[in-house]
Amino acid sequence: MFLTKLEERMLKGEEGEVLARAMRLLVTLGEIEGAQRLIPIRRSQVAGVSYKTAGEATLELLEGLASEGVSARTIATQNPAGMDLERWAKMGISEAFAEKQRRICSAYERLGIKSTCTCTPYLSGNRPRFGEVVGFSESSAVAYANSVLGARSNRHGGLDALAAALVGKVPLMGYLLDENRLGDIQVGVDCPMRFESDYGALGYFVGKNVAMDEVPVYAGLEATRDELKLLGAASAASGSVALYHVLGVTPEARRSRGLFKAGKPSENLMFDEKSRRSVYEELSSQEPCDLVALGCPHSSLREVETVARLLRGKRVKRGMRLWVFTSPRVFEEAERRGYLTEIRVAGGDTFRHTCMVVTPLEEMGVAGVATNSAKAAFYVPRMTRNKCHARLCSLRDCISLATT
Amino acid sequence: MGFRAKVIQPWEGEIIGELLITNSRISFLGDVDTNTGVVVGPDLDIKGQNIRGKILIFSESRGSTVGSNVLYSLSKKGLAPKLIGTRRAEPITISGAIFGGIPMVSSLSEEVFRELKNGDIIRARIEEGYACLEMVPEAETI
Repeated sequence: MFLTKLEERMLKGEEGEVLARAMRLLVTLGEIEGAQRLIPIRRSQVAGVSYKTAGEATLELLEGLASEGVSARTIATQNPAGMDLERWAKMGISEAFAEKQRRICSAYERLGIKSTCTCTPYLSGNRPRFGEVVGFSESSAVAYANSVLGARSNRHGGLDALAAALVGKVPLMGYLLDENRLGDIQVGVDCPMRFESDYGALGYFVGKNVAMDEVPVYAGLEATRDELKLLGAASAASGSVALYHVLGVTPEARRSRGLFKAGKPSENLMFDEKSRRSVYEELSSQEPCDLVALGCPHSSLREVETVARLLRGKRVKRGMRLWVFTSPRVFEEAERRGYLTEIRVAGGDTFRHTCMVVTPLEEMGVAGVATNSAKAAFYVPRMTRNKCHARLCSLRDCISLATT
Repeated sequence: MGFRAKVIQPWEGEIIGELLITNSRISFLGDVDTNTGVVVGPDLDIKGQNIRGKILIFSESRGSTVGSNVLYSLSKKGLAPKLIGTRRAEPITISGAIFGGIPMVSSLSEEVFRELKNGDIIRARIEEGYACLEMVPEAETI
């Protein structure tokens, strides 16, 4: 791989051991993929923040790096933590967990990576432009940035996204290159898409059925950005879809001409009523739920508004909790507009910085989660070693399950 | 007979270990219990098996980008596989293996998934820049 003089110096350790280690990782990743060189980035999203998911090893690694006095060279933001950084006690988080979590966030802060703690940086002050190359981790944010915004990112792991933020560069490879952004498989939809959760079900189905590096192209699908947020998150959970196109909807698929690598789809995939139903079945336990959790990925302002509106005149049942998860920026605006008050009046609550996937639900006395997110329904049982089950249903059903 | 693969994270000498193999995709976040190394993903055919000290071969990675941190963490806890092999590798798995010092190979052929099975004893070494994986006859392992 070609390296500039400064990059060579970094690699040799002349800019310090931390940058040498970061550089070695980026160069190795690049060489494996046959990258010719590194390319500068201005934005990073770094996953591996929740103490529950990243654990003691990441905490120790970060505190070690932070003590070396290096800092991110990009606008860099943190992924969700294991708790609301201010109102964690309200969630039922233990002091011991909170202490570890604060140490992780503070180490990232010292490394110049902001504690905005959201999986939707693009709705919270770290939004890439069309065509911009970024170094994102967080599988759902990678999918959104690539597909909905037309930015360019590979599916970086938490560790390589961190390395890229410190160096300010990523290897020029994969989804950064024009030829890898064209479509492979065409996806048709042959069932009514009635609820937002259906978009997650569709994404989940597609993620399972396309291989790594394959780009699905949805044809004949109408979708809002919030629906695409659910769809992309699901196909990056059941599979590894970093980029998809929706014909006539997403920015790189305004026209169908020249959209496919081989000139035409290599395969056609059909999402029908049977496949839709099988996703709901796979992601729904019949056990009772005691938490309705919304906001995976973090709710947009419009989604928070919808929850507030649906809760009008209703009351969350005794023994049931209704939690909305969102980014700090959306939280602030939703508070200003009174949506959060409406949610509180109905007996629900809204938390920032975290979500149902990365918070320690099994330690918080939650037995079952109902959610409109296929991604969350996929992860909740896995993340709690089946101590907490999940049910995928529409927002409307979530609300009627939770309220009287 | 041996199977050739691309070296992702090199090692010294020979690695010999018991094989845990699946043609499925794995997310180290969620599909593996980080406290024990036991596979918990309910849809995986190797569910209930432990990856610790095994030669772990899987098809591709799926899901969370925190997988890299989880792999690193498994290694720090002494729960990592002896060697990881995949059909195709993403940065998520590669950086976890590099930071965790876990030997790793990629570009495994279809044959590997057809011909090798759980419990086989595998020997892995590097020859002329390529990884070579082969089954060790039972007689040799006693």
